[in-house]
Amino acid sequence: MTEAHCETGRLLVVDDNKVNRLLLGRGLEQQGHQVVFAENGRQAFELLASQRFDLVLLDIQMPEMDGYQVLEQIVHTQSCATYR
Amino acid sequence: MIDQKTFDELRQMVGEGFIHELLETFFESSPQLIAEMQAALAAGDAESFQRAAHSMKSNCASFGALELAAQARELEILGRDLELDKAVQKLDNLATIYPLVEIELKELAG
Repeated sequence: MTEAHCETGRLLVVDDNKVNRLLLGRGLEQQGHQVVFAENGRQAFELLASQRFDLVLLDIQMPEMDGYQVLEQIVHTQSCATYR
Repeated sequence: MIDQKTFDELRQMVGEGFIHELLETFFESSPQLIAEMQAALAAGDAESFQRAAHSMKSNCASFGALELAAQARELEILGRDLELDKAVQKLDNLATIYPLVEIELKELAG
């Protein structure tokens, strides 16, 4: 990991693979970010509806809804909603 | 069966305490992923097969189980190409080798 001198933020990591979630979360937390996890698109939508995030890291290969479908729905929901 | 350099780098990156948590998760999820692949193979479900093989590949590579990762990658490609008939023997092979990888990782982690 390179030295972090960027701003830190609240990040949402969406990945069905727990090893990936742990690994990615660890790396990001070590860089000072606050990390929240979702295992699938449904969990991600619930979190996005109730909390504010600076960035969403989205896995592509997931069961039920893949990353592209999740992204599409996020964009659709955001464009229909008023930003907080 | 484990690339020592990859494993050492991972351990150094995540820290001594966390590597054990990470390994526990790997030991928990690998048999599940193998079972998922076996079930998908039996059901002729190439998409689920590919997805489980993909996760297996990525997890193995993270810990330096490079040979197993390469085998999982071959399985992933067979799933993608809808050639599950060619995957039977290869999956058996992977399922046989996995416990040896687990033993070696436990020894390495100490």
